[in-house]
Amino acid sequence: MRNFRFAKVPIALTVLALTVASCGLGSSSGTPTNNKDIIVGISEPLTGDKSDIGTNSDNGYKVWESVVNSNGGINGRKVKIIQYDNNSLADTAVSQYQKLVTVDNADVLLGPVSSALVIPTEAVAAQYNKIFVEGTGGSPQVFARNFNNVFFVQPATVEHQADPLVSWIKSLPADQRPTVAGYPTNDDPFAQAVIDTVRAAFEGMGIKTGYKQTYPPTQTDFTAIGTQMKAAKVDILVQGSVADQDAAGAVKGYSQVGFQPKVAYFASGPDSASTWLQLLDKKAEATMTSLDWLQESTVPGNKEFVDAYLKLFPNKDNVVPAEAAEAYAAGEVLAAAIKATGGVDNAKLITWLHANKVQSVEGNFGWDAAGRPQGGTFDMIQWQSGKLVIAWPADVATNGTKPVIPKPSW
Amino acid sequence: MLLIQGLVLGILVGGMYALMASGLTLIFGVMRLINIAHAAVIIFASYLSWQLFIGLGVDPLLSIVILVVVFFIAGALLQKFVLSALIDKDLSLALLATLGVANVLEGSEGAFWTSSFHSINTGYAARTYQFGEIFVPEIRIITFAASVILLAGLYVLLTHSNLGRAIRATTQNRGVAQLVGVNVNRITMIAFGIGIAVAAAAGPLMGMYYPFYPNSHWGWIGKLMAIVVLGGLGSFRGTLLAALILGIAEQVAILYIPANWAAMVFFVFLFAVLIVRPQGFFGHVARESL
Amino acid sequence: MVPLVILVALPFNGLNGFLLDLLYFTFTYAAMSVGWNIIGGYTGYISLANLGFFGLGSYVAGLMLTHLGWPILLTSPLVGLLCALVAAAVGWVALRTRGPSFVIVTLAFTFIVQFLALNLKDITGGSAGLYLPLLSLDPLLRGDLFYYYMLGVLVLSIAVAIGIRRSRFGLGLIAIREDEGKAEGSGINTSLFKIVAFMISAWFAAVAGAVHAQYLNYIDPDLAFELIIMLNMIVMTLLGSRGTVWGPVLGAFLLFPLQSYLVYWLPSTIAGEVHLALLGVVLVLVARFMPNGLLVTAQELISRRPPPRLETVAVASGEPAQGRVRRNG
Repeated sequence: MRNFRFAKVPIALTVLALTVASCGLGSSSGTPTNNKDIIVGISEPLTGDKSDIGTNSDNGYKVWESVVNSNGGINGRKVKIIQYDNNSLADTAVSQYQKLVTVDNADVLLGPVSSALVIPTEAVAAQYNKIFVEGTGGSPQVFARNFNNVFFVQPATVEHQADPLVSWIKSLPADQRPTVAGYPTNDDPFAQAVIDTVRAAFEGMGIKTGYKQTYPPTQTDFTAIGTQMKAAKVDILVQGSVADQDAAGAVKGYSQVGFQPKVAYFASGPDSASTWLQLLDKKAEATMTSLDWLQESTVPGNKEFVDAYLKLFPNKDNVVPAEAAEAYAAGEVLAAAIKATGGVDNAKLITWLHANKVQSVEGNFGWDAAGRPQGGTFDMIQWQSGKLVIAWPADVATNGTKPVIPKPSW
Repeated sequence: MLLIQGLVLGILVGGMYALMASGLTLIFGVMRLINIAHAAVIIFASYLSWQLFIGLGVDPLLSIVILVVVFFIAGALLQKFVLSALIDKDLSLALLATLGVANVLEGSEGAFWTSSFHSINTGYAARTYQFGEIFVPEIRIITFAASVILLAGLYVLLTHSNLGRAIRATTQNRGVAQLVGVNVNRITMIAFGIGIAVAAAAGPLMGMYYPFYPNSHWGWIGKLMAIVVLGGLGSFRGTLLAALILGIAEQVAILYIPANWAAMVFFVFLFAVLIVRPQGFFGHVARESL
Repeated sequence: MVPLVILVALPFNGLNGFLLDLLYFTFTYAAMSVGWNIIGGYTGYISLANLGFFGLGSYVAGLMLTHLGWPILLTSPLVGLLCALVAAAVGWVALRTRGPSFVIVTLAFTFIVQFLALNLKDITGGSAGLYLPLLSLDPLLRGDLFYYYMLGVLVLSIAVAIGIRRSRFGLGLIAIREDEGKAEGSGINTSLFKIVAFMISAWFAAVAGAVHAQYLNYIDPDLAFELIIMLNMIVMTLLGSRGTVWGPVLGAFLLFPLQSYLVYWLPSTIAGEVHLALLGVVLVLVARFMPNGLLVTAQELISRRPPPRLETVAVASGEPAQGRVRRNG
């Protein structure tokens, strides 16, 4: 074969080069000479589709590393993070965790942002029986295979995010409650899980379902949807939005067609402090969502975290992104386990975390056998007079404030 | 009532779709090339318009003027130095080159502006006009009006100027056009530049309408291809008609079927056309190669 | 045969999990590129559907596993066959005509399959995706298993490519690429040939997708239809030399490891930020300045012969080669 002759040499060379390079890679990149350090392996999407949340999460991990080391490390050992950018690609993330475990000899692993990246990579960690602590992947699929090495560090899993909304509506006298609900939902498992839980609860309470549709993630035009909900006389909006973009786009669309519900709850959106106000200005008033973490919260360790973050990553609005807090909390949980078990024996770490609760900036809670958090709750927040406040449950509400109803026209 | 609302919104959005797709059909006409990068050009122009707006306060409608010139030049250069050599040799290479360009644009957007959603939010585009039961957002009227003006300009160029005549001759039959003295290479370069410039003009309009992010051009190129096939590859009139029809079909579909399925309307029409009448409405160009 | 022996023997020298993973993907891309080359290179019809078949193969295999319990590593050839039948249907719509409709239809096909994966939630799990049970194996054994499996698929693809090139079928495909009108006139059933070529390329893409699903133990509409997979397939084939058997393999072996290592060699996030744009630039440059690809260009340089512009039917049958203007898109 004529052209085989010519291909043979380059292909063989490439293969040989790979083998040689792999030996080089193993010893040179990032493995510290000081073997007292605890090596933590992470692969994050610092570029690509998820780069924004990936960078926030990565910053959170860096803050954790800095805070831990400035307090003397864990059991006297410093933490050293080896982190790679997976370009938001699942295949690359899997490959990088393989490298972290089999070439870089990471002691422990922390997970990437987003359930879509957690699901394939947790399996890699599971194969090697490595602990895998992560702060943003909370969709039900993450826990479906019952991996015992996975730990999700938020107060509750995704389906329970809107529990505070349900409990608030339940607390209202029957004549003040909304009667017809609209559930436009982004085609995203996180959003759908949240909305499905609310809908089940509301239907059980007698609140009719006036509108229930899924919209594609690329949907940007909500006027038609708003028109339909208006026609169905929806007075409580429970939107399964995924980001401030679809949520804010929806508010604009609804406003343009004159859809004015009494309550406007979004699975995601109102929580992005600076952008939500920027996008909507006065229309943001009384919009609601739930959060696992609020920057102003007085949970133990939070002030130290916020201060450290703003020192390392200053920005003009003094905003700390939620993914950073979630990453930081994942680090805290991992550190607690290492401290308590006195080392980095992954089997011991896993057993310890299944048996104990840990206080982090996300709250104080433990985990079930599959890694779901147990014993924590989300906070429902609302925009009131241009400020984001915790409005429910009453015992954690900012300055004792109550949720505003009905929502002023947007 | 609901149906009329859908019809009205459909016409308004159809106008913008027509502007977005007209450059694609023009390019196919002179080069027989499907420009896979077409939607990516639109999005890139949206990003530039956003940057001009945020950085220098340039109104997006005004930015159209700047972008049209810049992109015309860029398009003509791309054609001259990359595509022209490929068109004669092997059309599939030209196609692959446009695929490459689409990814270069997308990659650059991600590098400069990150992957978050962007949209151009001018203060004045927030009102809604009400006609009885029909709500018509102002932004849609503005983008529709701008699209109509630009399309009218393009139409006049194509039908009433020497350049336009030359382009149409080249589109109909390149060989004969050359025989009657048209410098087909130069005309092709100019026509490609115009096609890209028209796409760029649609950028700021689209950016005021829908949020965009680097990957979003893939969602658009499928729709644009459906429009030009339905209208008939190479036919300007066809593209206008097809864009209106598909815009209306989409907006009306949203009212009756789940919103996410409404996006499939474009592909349903695409396959139907290819099976039943592959040359589309007015496609004399496509017919000869079928 | 030497590289094959090296590749077979490598794992026994103790390749670690990372390298097994790297080579697994390299083999996958090489096999897919060889498959794509059959319709894109030999026949000259640019298909943007192979990504759609990759994803379709992932889902079909995944669903067979979760609903019927059939292990993917056993069912992948069957999955490939089912997807090839779908390719026949798609090909019937798009390949009856000679024009640019093929590109448009194949692109539309990929989008439609992704759309269905996203929206037929009851079947596919929608955007939540499908998780698959893990193969309970020691990680190194698992790595070896996938390594050899895809190496086998790659060898098969090369054998098929060689077989095609030596057959009347292959000559017919090349004739279609050179001048479809003339090929049609000389009695070749061009529609049939094109559809079969398309089906073969779909088979390899689908098998790769099926195995990939089991490899990640997870499928979702984003990662099963990741556009960079399609871009890579095309760039690897073009860079290596389309229209040749070994060109796509060369392209894959060069480009995939390069892309993987770039992130370790370049500082911080530069690799990720330029990744897509760089691939695009490579595609444009290769198309413009080295359209024959590395393999053919190297052959020409070494033998110092005037370029035969890939292998034309005319040369093969002894007639003088003539430049022809191609109007296929």
